Amino acid sequence: MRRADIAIIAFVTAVLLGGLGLIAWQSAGAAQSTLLPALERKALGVSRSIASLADEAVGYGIPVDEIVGAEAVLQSALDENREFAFALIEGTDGQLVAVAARSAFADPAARSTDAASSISAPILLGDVEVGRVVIGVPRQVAETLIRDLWIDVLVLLLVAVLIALELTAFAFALSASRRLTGLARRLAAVRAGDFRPHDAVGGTGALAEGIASVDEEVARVRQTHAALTRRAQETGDRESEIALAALDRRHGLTALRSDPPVTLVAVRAPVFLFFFAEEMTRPFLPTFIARQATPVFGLSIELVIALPIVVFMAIVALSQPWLNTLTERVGRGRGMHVGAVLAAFGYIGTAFAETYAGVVGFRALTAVGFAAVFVAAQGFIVDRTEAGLRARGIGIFVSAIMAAMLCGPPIGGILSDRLGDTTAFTICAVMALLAALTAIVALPSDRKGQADTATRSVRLSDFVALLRVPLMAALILGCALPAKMLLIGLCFYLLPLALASQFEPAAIGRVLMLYGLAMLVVVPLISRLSDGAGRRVPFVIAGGLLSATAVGHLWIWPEPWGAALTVLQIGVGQGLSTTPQSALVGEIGRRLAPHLSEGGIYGVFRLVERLGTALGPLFVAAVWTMYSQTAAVWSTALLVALGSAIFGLLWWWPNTRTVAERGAN
Amino acid sequence: MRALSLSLLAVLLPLLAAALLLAAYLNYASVRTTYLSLVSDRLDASARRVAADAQTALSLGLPLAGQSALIRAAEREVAADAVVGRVDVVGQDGIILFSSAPSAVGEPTQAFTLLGFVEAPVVSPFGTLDGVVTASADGAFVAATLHDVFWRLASGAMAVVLICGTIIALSVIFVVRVLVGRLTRTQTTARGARLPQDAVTMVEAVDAAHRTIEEKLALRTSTLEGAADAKG
Repeated sequence: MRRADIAIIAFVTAVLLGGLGLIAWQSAGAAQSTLLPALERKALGVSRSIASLADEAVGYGIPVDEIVGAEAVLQSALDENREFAFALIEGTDGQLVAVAARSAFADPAARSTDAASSISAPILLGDVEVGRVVIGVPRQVAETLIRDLWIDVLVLLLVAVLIALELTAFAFALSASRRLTGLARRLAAVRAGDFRPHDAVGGTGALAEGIASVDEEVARVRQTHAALTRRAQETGDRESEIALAALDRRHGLTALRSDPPVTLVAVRAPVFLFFFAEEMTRPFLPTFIARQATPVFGLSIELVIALPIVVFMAIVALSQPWLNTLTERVGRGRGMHVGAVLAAFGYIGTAFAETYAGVVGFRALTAVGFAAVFVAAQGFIVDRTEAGLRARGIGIFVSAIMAAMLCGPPIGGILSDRLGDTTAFTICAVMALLAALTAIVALPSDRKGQADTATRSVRLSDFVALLRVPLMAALILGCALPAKMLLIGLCFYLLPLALASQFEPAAIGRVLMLYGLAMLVVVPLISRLSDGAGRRVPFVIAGGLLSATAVGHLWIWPEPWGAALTVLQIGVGQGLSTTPQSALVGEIGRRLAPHLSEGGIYGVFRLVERLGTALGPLFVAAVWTMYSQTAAVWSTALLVALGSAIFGLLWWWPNTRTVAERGAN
Repeated sequence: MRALSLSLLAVLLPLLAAALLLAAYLNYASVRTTYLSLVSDRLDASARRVAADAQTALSLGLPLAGQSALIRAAEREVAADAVVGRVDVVGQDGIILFSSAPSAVGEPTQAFTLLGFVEAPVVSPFGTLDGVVTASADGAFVAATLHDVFWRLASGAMAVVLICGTIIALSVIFVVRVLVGRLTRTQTTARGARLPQDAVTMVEAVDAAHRTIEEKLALRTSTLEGAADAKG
């Protein structure tokens, strides 16, 4: 089955590569036949202009080979027209008078090859030709043009392959494919010697018969094993008991399966598509708001631009507790459909908003839809997994978001660049609607009262109780909060705005995708590495310090490399700290705030984290207004570094560590 | 099997089409931008040449409004380059003084086409701005060129989408068929049960291990029974 997935994806990748190659080849041909004549006409125009200057000089009686400053004029023509290979003036006998050439055409032999076509205009004294101005046009102009697009096309290929991965998994998770998936899973398990039973899959046909025969055979083998174990115990045959136990360990003959149900995978595609829509807005949203921004409430322009982002994040943070209850009541699937449709309206409204207030209002509507989808999708997983499997279930959800964070910004940037912000927002709306459609098609209908997962909302008393514990306060307020402030304030607010003055949204999108890339690579790696309790704290502190120092790149490297390295390092830093930080919250909370439920502790933690996403742009904009952009960047980074340092100090403070470690172990 | 193939094709084919068409559009947009930039450069060169003629005459003391020879200069530029649709010499008040299109004289200046419009200042020897020379692209010519490129790329891209789509469709159907065939291929086990082939080896291996233990247990049971009989 896995091999079938891989075969399909490999095939799609190969066909896409071939298709993109064909399109590039065909475009090069079309570009060549359109641009080369146009460029030759332009060269003729420029050569005529230079020739008319020379005409004047010759008219004053200056011989062609004695015109002063001819090379400077030719060089200036070359500087103004980066497509030209060379420009020269020659006598009627072909003798070179002056020349300016690109390095590839500095050698006279190179100028006489087929690499460039020569366009000339005569220098006239009356009606007599006394010399020529010649301009060389490289013949590979179209190839150069198409080559300039290769980054965009590569990004497109990468994103298409990642989407294909998601959608193939989605197709295999549909109810139509469940029997095939079910049989494939069973056979893969048995082939690997795993005889734990699977959840029943009904139906008729060859696949259903195959499933039934495997299930019956597994059940028979397990029964035989149980009977033999009983006999061995009854007869007191120790040697057989040991052999049976070894067989059990190898084949799971008495164990039960604890995989997340297949239906959980169905939530990936809607989540991916929906988050993809929102992530697409990252590279161009701040500049889009900036264009619509008008003075409000006496706020500075920086705060006015930040406001819609702050409002969005605040709504997402604050509406989640009651949306959780609401989506539980109306059904998680329905919550996702409604949320995605609301967000689609929000994107369309933002696209066509003519006033700043309209932008803020429609972004707020998008935020409500976003929060509803987020909460409903998370609730869908929580409802269908037992406590022991919840982390793996949530992993499916988180990895879909990270894949969207990788794919969304570069595509959003390209769309904004080539089609404009309005079209890009409209495409975001289409993606949100597609997410709703895939949720309708793929998610099983909501079953009322299916699981007792009702979680009470976070109370103020939980906050107070938790933040009274210094170590917990340092972890939540010192590490989690500033980390999100840095991410949203710097990466998704300040950097797109700052880069927009020099670069197009496509380039900004490529910079922002590095965060998703780093997270996608680092998070799974660190989840395994940091599992040892003792290693979590160093990872949290190292992650914080790495994120904080990332901003230094902005002053070391020229843009966009400085911004790219900053975003990448923040991604690596947050990838290092995210999972261990989350695990530490539970561990420290259990020991140092035992009177609070785990749900309450995580509720406070998540809420503070999300408030950080709202506070980030607000803080950055406020410092930017009061002092400078530099002060805004460094003060946010300083918050992150100080928070991590304080948490580290408190952790390694002898008494605290002993108490907390006892809890962690 | 058919349902799975259709589901896979329903998600993969639109994705393939979207990726290829977007790539084709990126290429077209790039060619279009470059072409319009070349058009703009050519218009700029034409406008500057006429402006240079006007400035030469100004330096000889001939006011801009009196330089009727500029009509010929403007007509020459339009005749010399098919992309140049119109060249106007505009006074300080924004009224067209001379033009390659005679009917435009006396009218206020405006962009002739959105596909290309440039201005070159006419500066007197004393540094004052006496007027501008505007050059507009021949909108129909430029649009026809771009239209031609668009359809060439669009038809090519559609062909590529069709070819790639067919390849993907055939390969998905093939992969699913092979997968289903492999999964449903059955074999009879030593015990006589029909089981998917992939499961047989491991089931028989565990059965064999169980049989070995069972034989050992049977032997031990018979030994114990024998011992009990002997005691009895």
